[in-house]
Amino acid sequence: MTLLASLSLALCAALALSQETAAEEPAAVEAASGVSKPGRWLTNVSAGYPWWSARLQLGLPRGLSPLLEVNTALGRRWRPAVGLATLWVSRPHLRIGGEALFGWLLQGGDLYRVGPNVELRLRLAVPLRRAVPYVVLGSQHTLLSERFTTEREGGSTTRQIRLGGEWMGWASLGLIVAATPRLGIDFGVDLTGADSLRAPSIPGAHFGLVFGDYRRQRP
Amino acid sequence: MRRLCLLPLVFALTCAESQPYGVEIDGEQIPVIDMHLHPGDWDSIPPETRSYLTERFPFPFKLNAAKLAAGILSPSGIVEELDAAGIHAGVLFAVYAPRTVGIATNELVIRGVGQYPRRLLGLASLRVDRWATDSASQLARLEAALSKEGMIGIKLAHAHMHFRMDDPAYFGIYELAGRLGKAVYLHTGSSPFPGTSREPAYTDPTYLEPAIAAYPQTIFILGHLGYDFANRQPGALEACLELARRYPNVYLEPSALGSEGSDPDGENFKKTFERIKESGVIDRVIYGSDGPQSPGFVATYLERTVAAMQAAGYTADEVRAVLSGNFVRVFGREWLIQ
Repeated sequence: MTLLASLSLALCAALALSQETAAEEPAAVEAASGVSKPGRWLTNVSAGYPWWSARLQLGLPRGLSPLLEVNTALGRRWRPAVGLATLWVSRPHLRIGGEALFGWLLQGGDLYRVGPNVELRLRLAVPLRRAVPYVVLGSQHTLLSERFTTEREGGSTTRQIRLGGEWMGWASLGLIVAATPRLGIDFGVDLTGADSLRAPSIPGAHFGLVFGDYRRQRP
Repeated sequence: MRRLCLLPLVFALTCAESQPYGVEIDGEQIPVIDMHLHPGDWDSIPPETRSYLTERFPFPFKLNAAKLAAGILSPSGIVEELDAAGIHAGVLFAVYAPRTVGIATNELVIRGVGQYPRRLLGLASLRVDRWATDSASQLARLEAALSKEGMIGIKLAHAHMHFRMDDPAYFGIYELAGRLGKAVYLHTGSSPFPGTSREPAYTDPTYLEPAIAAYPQTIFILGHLGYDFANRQPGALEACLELARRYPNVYLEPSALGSEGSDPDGENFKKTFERIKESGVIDRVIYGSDGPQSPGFVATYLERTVAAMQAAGYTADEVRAVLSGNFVRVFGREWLIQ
């Protein structure tokens, strides 16, 4: 219900801001769709509860964008990653794309977790004139290993490594507004399903700034 | 303008103050005492159990469980949970199970009871892991703790503390309780925590029968009704009911087994209350939640318990007996619910 309400709100705001498709695409559109035009770059830095993140993406030919990203939840769960984003659908008012990221999870505290991490994302953006509502769905998988040492009374010692995994699913629903062609303002709600969908999670929200090297497109 | 801004706050405070304690059944306000609450020190819980508990916290709270636990496990945090649930009073448990669920000292409980003498009572406990050498000193310390104001009984958990229910070497604890007029609360059924004993001699209350029979002056409260938490099954429920039917010094406590995690659809909990009613032992049931666990658990567990009793056809008087009447009959202190 919250998701639907937020989506409706985001779409209404976007429609109110939009008039007609611009010939140029501001950085906000590239941030929401996850892919930059060839030769262009952008950064997206956001802060919120519980997630903070920073992302740098570059545009390559064939609709590909390599990216660097660091995100953290409350400064206790960190995941630096590199990745590649691509667009499958690129229409004036619709972008659908995917991303694959490879990173390393570092989580301290009582749920100590360290291990290689892979994430797959699906992005959907609806570019309007100055506002771009978007939805991102992510599925994160981390390989975890636990080391056990058994010391017996007789003096023998056995060492074992037990492999396990952690899954985290998440969704982000937001809106990026192009304040200027180079600058975008991002806000959205974040839902996280940590470990399993059965585990309860508190919804979060973020506010971010997008900054890109906007260049006017040739007619 | 400032006055206008303050209005909602004043309204909220007024509403909070006027919220009645107890639960309403058929237009009647029924008082509640929660006899099973765990204060604690997060650092004294073994790492495996901390991880187990942390997993149950909502994300992102689980990322900083120590901070959350420090607030909720303190006496003031527990009283806040009682307030939020509309519960009149609660009983704090001391725990000495260093290899499984950790330690919450008698001193910690006594301090909490002293801090909130009109809201909190306490159960003391003792270490049994060096029983062969220090049983006398442990019993002496237990007796000293029980002499403090508001300390109404002893908490034992054979599965967590790794001693058999039928081992006569430990019967001195029951003898002491009877001599001092204190009750003994015993964890029955399997435990979900890492490192606990799961064999019947540590979990099945049938093994308590020799002690129950030998110390008729001692009140035995069978915690969790023998629930098999490992398999989410009623476990030794029938054994508990049978003991309550046969021995007037046996009481039953339905904490934790009806939680979202232990009985997701509430069906086992409802059947448990049906069996209690069919067995004619409603007058032996003393309500407890096993909180605070996580924020809001104390309130949610009370709601689930009332729902299960209503689904099982309990009258308002029967609900009253379970939620506070039987407690007051056993422990006195009627002023707790006035």
